[in-house]
Amino acid sequence: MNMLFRITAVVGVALAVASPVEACPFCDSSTAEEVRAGIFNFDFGYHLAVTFAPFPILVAALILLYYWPSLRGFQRTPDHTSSLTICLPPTPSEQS
Amino acid sequence: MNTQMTRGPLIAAGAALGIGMGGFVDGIVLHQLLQVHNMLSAKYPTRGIEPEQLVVHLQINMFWDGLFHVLTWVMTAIGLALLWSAVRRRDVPLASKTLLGAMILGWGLFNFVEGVIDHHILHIHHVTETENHLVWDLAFLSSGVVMIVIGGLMAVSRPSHVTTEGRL
Repeated sequence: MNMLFRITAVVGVALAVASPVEACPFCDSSTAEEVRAGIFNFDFGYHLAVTFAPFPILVAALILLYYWPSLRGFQRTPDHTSSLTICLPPTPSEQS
Repeated sequence: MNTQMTRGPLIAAGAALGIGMGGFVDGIVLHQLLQVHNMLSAKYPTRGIEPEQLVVHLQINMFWDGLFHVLTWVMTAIGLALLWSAVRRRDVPLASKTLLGAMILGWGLFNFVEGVIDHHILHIHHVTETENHLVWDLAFLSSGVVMIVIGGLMAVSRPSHVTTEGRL
């Protein structure tokens, strides 16, 4: 119900202020000026930093997973179709 | 002769895809469909304000949500690049269970890291900007922990079927 009210309010305001292009944050209207002022202000750098903040940590986690030592090391024999292992008795030099 | 295998590259690829796709689920379902959890909604709320101000706040949040989606797109692209690199390596076993587990792990990592930083440290937004937002924030964080555990266990468990066929 609350969401329905909000959607109705947004649509109502959009219709009330005539041209739909005025909803664009880069257009020439009083609403657009307010939007620009809310985005490109003194806090822009801070907002950019906080928006990007989780991603360096997530990238670090990916690097950790990529090189995680315990994820490597288990042995697997090659596919039987790609190679053939023949066992021969040791040569006399190997026996000595 | 035995070959030393490693699952790290496949798990990293799956986790990157999980982070990216988890971010898109967040953006599409929460930000756009349910219209909550917007990037700067604690500073520019979309509840309890006049309709004229609501339009401005929604558009400001939409701008920052858009930048957030840029990063989730980049993470998905990184995941695809890592996956392509992994499938070309003969020492990386291709196991569906490992990849699926890694994707769930990545989604969980996204929810957990995003939740801790944005909801609990920086307070730039919450899941919902209501008085009981802490309940929703903790539920979001818990979903991350659950997915990390389930996905992590799936990713590191021994795969039932491994293939190296079709390698370039």
